[in-house]
Amino acid sequence: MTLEVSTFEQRVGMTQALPIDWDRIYAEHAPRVYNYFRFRLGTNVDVEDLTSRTFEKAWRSREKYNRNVAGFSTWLFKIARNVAVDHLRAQRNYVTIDESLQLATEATPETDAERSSNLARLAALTKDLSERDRDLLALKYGAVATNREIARVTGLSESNVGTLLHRLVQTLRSRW
Amino acid sequence: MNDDFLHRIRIDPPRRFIARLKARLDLKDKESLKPLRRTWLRNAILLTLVGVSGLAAALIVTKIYRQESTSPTTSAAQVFQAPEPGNALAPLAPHVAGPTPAATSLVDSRAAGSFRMAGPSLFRSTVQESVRVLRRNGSFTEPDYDTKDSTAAVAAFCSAGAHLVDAVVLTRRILAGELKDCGAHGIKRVAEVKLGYQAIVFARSNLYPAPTLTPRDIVFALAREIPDPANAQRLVKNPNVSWGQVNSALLDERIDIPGPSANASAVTAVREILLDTACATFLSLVGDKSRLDDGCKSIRADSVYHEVPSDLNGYLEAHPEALALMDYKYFAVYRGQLAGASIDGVAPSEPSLTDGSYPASRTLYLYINASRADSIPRMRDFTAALVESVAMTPGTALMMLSETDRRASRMAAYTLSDLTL
Repeated sequence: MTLEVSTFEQRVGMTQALPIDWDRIYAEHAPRVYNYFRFRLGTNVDVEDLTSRTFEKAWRSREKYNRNVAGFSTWLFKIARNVAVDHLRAQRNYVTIDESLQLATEATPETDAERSSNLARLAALTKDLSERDRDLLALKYGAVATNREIARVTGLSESNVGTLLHRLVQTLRSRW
Repeated sequence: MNDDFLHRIRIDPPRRFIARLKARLDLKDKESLKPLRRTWLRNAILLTLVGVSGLAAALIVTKIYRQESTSPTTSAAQVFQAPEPGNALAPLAPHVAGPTPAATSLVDSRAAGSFRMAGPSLFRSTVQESVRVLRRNGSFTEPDYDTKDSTAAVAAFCSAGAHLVDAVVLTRRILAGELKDCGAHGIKRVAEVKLGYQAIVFARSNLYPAPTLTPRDIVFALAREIPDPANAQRLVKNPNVSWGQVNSALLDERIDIPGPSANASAVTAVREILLDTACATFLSLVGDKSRLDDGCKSIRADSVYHEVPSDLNGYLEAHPEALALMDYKYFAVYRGQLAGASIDGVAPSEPSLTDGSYPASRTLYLYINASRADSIPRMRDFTAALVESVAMTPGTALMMLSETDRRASRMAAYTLSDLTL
């Protein structure tokens, strides 16, 4: 069994021996998890709820999980993915990514409007993709995970992740 | 790779949300310390009660042992044999001295091709599977199969006149005293074939450490009814929702046990292997055996025990406190992703199953009246087919652990050598 310590975990001093700065971990990971759900599901209301659920599960057990088996970010995103799957399963008629954009109630600045518009475009383009491909995009561009981190979370090989993402981005760019 | 258009879609989450969530997490941190303090006293009381009941059970067993040891015909092994379902702590069925002439003539007059078996319900499908395999190469009469626990099956096997059972499947090895009784009743030649193992495991994702449990912990977490902490003489609906309530030495985590449906073989196995024995220790307190069988030896039906989700491993990764009940076969396949709880300090592994030290396992044996075997066409083929079918019959959770084991059993099936203990 190898010790997985990602660049992020090295930066925050998250090794077996050193005390862990959980505030710093939260500050760095909360936006990643939030954006993962945005890319994956696109529903602003659910995104906050699902981000909360993910952190509540992780926080409750953060002292217990076995760091020799998985780095924190790998573990956190495994929880996030399962929360997403549970959500999709529970809501068969969940609001699609583009429909959800119509539900945004808060006034957003212009840049946010543009980003929302881009998210809607992305939603339209990824509508027919498989769950796996949407998950890869959400991990890469929502959670800003490295290919290595994605490989650990999904169980795919790192080279496979790179190849799949390359093809996905090429296809999306040509239609953008 | 030009992917800026995708990176631009990211946004910063609302600051208010981020701050609110952090405050909630900090609050949960503080709250999580409170239940530990509150449950300390309750756990101490529960532990005292459990200790007293254990002491009482030990005294009673010692008393029985002393009484039994004065009888020259009963061995200590018979007294301490594992209790069987429906026969917890019951003495062996008494036998008459020797076969009656009527019984002998009954055996002789039976049709040459028909025979009768007895054993646990889970093995019925393996018998049917073996018959199906044999019938590919000719006719074979399916044996009558009576569901009996091991003690009752041995009694039927040895009292040939009354039950006419030619072969039995036991969830333990036959005892020397039982074999001797068989001989005294005219069943002079008994052959033994090891059929395989059955074991159950309580496992977590290997992202989290698995606890060390005792059979008693499992009863207090999983049984539908347990002795009332306030009055140990009566059973109450299991109130335990955290492992700290079950045993103060365990972490005070929520009890979350996903497992198969109530009629699955793993559930039957957990009842027969763990609950039966542990619940039997309450008999001296509760007194009412049928109530104990109904309440303590049943799995609770509330949300603490619930059916496994379709993606069990994913569920376990996302639920750190979940401790799934599964059969060893499943555990062995996903060993790389799972951490099995030790029971009485023994971890589930092939060596601990083989040597019998893992408490949540048992070995199944077939015993055949070898004198009758020659009068039943293809009996040896059938016995070998049983050995082969053990690993192939779905849903039984039975297995052979190694090729060496399987070969030895196959050899024993064809030779049907006389057993001596």
